[in-house]
Amino acid sequence: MLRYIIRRLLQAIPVFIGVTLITFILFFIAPGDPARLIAGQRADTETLARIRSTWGLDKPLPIQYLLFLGRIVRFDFGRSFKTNIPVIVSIGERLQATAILALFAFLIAILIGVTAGIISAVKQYSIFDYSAMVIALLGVSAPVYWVGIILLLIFGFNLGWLPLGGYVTEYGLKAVILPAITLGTRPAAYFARLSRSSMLEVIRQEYILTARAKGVSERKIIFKHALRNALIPVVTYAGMVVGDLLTGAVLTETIFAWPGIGRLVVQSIFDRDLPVLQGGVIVIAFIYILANLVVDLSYALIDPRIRYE
Amino acid sequence: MTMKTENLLQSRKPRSLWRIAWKRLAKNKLALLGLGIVIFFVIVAVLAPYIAPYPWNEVDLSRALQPPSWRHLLGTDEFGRDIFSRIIYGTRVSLQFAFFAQLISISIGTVLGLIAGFYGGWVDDLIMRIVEILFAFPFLLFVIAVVSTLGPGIQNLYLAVALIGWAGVSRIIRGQVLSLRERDFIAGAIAIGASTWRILFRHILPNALSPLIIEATLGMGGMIMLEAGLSFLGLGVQAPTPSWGSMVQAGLAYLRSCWWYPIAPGVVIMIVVFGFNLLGDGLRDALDPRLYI
Repeated sequence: MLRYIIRRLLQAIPVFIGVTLITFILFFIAPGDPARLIAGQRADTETLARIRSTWGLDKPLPIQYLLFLGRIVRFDFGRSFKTNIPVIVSIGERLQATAILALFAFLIAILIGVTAGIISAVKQYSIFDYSAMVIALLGVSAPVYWVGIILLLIFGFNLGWLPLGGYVTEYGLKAVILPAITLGTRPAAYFARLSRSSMLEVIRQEYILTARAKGVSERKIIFKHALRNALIPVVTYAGMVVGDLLTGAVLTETIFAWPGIGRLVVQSIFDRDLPVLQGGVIVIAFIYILANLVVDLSYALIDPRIRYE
Repeated sequence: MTMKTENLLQSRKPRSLWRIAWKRLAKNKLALLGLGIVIFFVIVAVLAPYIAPYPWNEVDLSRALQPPSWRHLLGTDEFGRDIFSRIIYGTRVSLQFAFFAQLISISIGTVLGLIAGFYGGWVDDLIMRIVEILFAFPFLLFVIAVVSTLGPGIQNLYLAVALIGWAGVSRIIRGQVLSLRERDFIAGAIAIGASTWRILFRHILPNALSPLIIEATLGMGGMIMLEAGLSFLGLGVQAPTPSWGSMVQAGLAYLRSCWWYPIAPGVVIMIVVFGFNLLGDGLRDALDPRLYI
């Protein structure tokens, strides 16, 4: 197991480096003078020269990349052009908000999705099964921000039960309900579809037949024998869900004025705040890689066949 | 052999893979619904100027933000433009982007997947490492990064898709090539001296078409969502061109007074993507060779 962990960790290193390389290429070889991009269109030559030397823009590209990499390793993404706060500090603050949102969305998705999927599988071809699967497919097809708008309209404007936007510091846990449901819709739909098909596959296997033949109660068969095996693919999918949650957060946070990293990134685009945008993109990509790493490792823990490959 | 069985054998039509797949698809009601939705929207996109009651850019400030009526089925926007007509024209923008974006991703992905799978060795390693790195970026985030650096607009959206969209396709094709490469008919083709490109495109690719078709169909929904999402953020299709995503964004400001304005384009996005997803799911069931008994 230890060897597997070490091998998997080593495999992640080139991916990390690749992500920084692509981000570097994107932001520094983009058309136009990067110094002007950083300083703004109206900067004078003196400012431009100063920026070139502080950012190392006067050096050859490979050296520039190494400098960039060196800064990232030290979590130094520079300072925001707009607020002059170190980028890593604002990202740190915002990450907490995104983490809260993503956690609740994830819980909602698992709870609703897996439950619906299991019931659908157990009662295959029932009305519940059909309607749950059509709803799930609609859930996958609906744009995240649009789901948010509908929830806002119903529960915010019309019924007035929940706040229209804002953060937990203002409204407490009430603030997280609508954004979390919005963000959790797509993953819930995926979980429902996945756990249904996985459960169907498991309950057709012979050991389930044996259990039935022995006279084990249906309840026990589902919960004790089938569910555990059926959940293995659901665990692997959890890694991909993190990606879905992070991208969904960009849109959800915009709708609900949620002070997370997604909104920070979107705001930085319109402010032309390059360091924040760059830092945000790298941090989100890193979280995504880490999440997949954790999922791979936990998968190896659940299923011994993986680590002996 | 009796006469009866002989007749039966003669009357039996040849059953190609595609015929079997079509029969399976035709039996799947949800898949047919998906196909119907897709065909409907393609027709709407093609005939947009004939169907839409008003031009998409006809401004009439005196009739701004009207509620739905017989004159304006879905009301008017803040410039007095007919929302229903703009949604119809938006179909063109959306489907056109999705189609070409998919074409770009699939073409690049197919060629790179074929090369990686067939040549193996360092070429395969290199391509698959790049794929792995691209997979480390959440798709939307990468596109946002590209578009925000190069500037908003549909061209840069295409560029972003070309840079990253191929990764998934190339992985699928590579997997297909790896399993097909070892088969006898490929060994035969090599033995009679067929060129590499002939083997790749004439022998391997046709056999790898099923997963490609499924991916292409399911991916259409993803591309429609991508364009709408980017346009919603103001980074995709630029005003005044009608895009469903930017219409939702524009309507958001009037949510309280004209709720139909942001909701209607979203409903359309959901229906189209739902159609492609149903069709893709149906195609997967129909084309999956593991189901042939």
